[in-house]
Amino acid sequence: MSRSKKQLHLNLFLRNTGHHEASWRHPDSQPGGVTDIAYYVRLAQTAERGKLDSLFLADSYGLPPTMQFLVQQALEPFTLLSALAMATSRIGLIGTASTTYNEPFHIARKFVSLDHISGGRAGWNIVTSTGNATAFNFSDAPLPEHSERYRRAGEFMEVVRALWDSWEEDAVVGDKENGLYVNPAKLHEIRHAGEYFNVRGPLNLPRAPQGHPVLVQAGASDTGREFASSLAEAVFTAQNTLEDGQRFYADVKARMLKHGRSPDRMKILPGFCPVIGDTHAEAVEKERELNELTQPEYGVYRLSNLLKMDLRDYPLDGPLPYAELARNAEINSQKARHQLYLELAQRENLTIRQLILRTATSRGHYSITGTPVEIADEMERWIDAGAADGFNLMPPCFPTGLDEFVDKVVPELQNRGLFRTEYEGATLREHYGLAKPERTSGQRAVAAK
Amino acid sequence: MSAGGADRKLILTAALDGPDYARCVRQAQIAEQAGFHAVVAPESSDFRLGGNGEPEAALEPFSLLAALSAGTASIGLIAEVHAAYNEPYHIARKLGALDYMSRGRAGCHIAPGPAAAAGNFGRTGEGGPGPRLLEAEAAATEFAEALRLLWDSWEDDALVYDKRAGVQMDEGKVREIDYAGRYYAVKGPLNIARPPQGQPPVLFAVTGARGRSAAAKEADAAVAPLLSTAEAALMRADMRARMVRNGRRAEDLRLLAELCPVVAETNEEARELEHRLRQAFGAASERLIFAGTAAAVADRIEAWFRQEAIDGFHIAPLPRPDLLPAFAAKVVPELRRRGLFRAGGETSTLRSGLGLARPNNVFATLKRRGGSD
Repeated sequence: MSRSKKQLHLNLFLRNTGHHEASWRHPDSQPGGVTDIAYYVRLAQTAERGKLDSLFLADSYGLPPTMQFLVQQALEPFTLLSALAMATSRIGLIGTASTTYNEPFHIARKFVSLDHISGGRAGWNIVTSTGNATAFNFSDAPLPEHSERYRRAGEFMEVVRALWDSWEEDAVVGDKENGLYVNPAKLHEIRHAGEYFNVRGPLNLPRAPQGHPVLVQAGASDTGREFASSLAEAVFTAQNTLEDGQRFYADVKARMLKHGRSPDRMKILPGFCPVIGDTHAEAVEKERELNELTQPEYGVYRLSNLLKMDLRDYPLDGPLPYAELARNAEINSQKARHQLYLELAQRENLTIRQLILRTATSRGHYSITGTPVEIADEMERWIDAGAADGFNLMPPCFPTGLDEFVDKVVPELQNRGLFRTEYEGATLREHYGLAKPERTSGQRAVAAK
Repeated sequence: MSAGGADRKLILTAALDGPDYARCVRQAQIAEQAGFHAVVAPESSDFRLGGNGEPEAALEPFSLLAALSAGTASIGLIAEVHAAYNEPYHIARKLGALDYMSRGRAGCHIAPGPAAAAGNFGRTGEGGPGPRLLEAEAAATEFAEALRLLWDSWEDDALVYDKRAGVQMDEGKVREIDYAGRYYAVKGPLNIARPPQGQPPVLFAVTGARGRSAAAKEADAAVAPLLSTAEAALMRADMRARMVRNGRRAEDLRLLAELCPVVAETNEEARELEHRLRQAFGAASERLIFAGTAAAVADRIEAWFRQEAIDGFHIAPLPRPDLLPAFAAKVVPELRRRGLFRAGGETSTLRSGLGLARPNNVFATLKRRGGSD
């Protein structure tokens, strides 16, 4: 394998029946699989056969009102990833957890547990929650404002990282003779007292095999980018064009420098949805087949929800009512996605129906329809142009879309020297080429009681 | 009394312990091969050094049990949950996921949670332990109630997956629960369909009167620190009366005594070991220890079980790693020879293994009766 070329990284975005919104209606899909561990094991093992860096599960703490149209992600990420850890040996396992409706102590130990169980393959996609449907599952208070959620997220991360460092690497002595399990001098209370949290520590688990599980982030608003550049080691992002991707890449990596971080300590992975055919015509036919299964009723709902405006009264074949659309500043969640949709519609002069179809495949992420060679060409172009370090792979339909990618596109990337032919490392951190974090010192040791 | 008569069989569960995943896998496999009904993953919300019986390092129960669901085939997987430090919504969906992944083997043991752990879950501007800690049993009762309603927020046949019509579910069969308790507020619905068991079994520990009251309302099984058969009989009578007062059938609760079995080659050797254990536990925490040869331990178990106050035993974390394997290898076959324990190799849901019926969906039942939707 030629080593002169920059290696790309691939994460599989595992999502129920696939990323196309009508995938569950496709004859190949298995909607009942969303509660079946065997379904996920097969997908994870396929991804591992393709030597992908990691797989990833999104998550939310509520049921969207559009549930009658859409198959839901059903199995909770920590439980699902722990079971997948047993069925795989190398692939990284990235789970989503929200800083809005969790306790830092719980999240810290869940990721350390997963890291121990998987032998150093855990990663955390850090999100803030959206929507009152989620908020009211935890209390009768509404969702906090966007800026407050991010302030809380920042402090949440401080606490979690301190908890991860509360056990030194060699704290466990396991001296059975003298009944000494740990060396108290290597265990530290964190005594965090901040704006939101008061946490004593130490954590109740030995330090994670990776030191810290890999931190992933996907917020794309200005606040989200600042947050990501301050700590994320991988970023999932939705970029519609290569030029947008370049701008985003340059912006986030520049922000990293401002935070005193080297740009190579983060991998930027734009969403990438390939509709694959052996010939170009076959791929186009596949996309048409999927689009025919979409339900405009759902599409209008999806757009209305995102744009915070009821679009049901507007003609499907007319333009978006730009003048009446709420300004972005009034939007409290998914800010960046909101802007991306408006720009896409304006740039390509799309009707409401066209915008629905344009975003049905991958919800605003980049999508490409073509042969394995065409798809590999495009991936290479993004890497060479400084728009990506790799991709967040979003097959339109499972399991076929993943099988085709692993069997046809991966070998093409390997032949070009762009992608590994074997795993070289054992941990997720090693797959992404990320350094193991240093322990921060300065915490006080726990006195033996 | 439950499942009476000649067919009545002992229930056995065992605790997993420690932060070492490989060790937990061995414990679970030993328990499964012996035919135990379930393993229990203890929760730890805190880490302290040196204290007897204090929470120690432990893997997070749901990650641990989900991983174990892949390496086991028949044993129940029970997660301990500290109600004071958790949210019903998170726990309901994790149990739902575990129940699907294990094909109906999930359960939970709801404990109030240690007050000492409050320092790990503090909120700026809110001084002292909250009402969830101060009124712990009442909070745990609410927690269990909210779990059941969340699982029932989907009727069993809500999902239709009609690809042709583009309808994945029957909207009329999924509903908000609007739970507004004193300690928890949960709107629902849950984001996973009703679990295979309908409602995974809920265990409570019963110690004081408030613990008994909570268990009589919500528990499918209760674990009690009992020291004599007389105490067990009193506990059973009390639980029976409380359940009837709550409108439940007395036979719908399994009562398990916490046990530390010490098996050795000779009775002398076992007594010596027992003496050392009692010293290690300390005078403050008296425990039920059956020490002796396999036959002697089986005798004690048989005597307790024949009295019909309890349905079985929960083997709490043992201070020596060789005690559980010794019990499984020597005592369990003896119990089986005496016809007291099931044959082993049974595959069933945890609920049916405990001899409990699959619960009806509370909302579907209301609807059938013409009640409010």
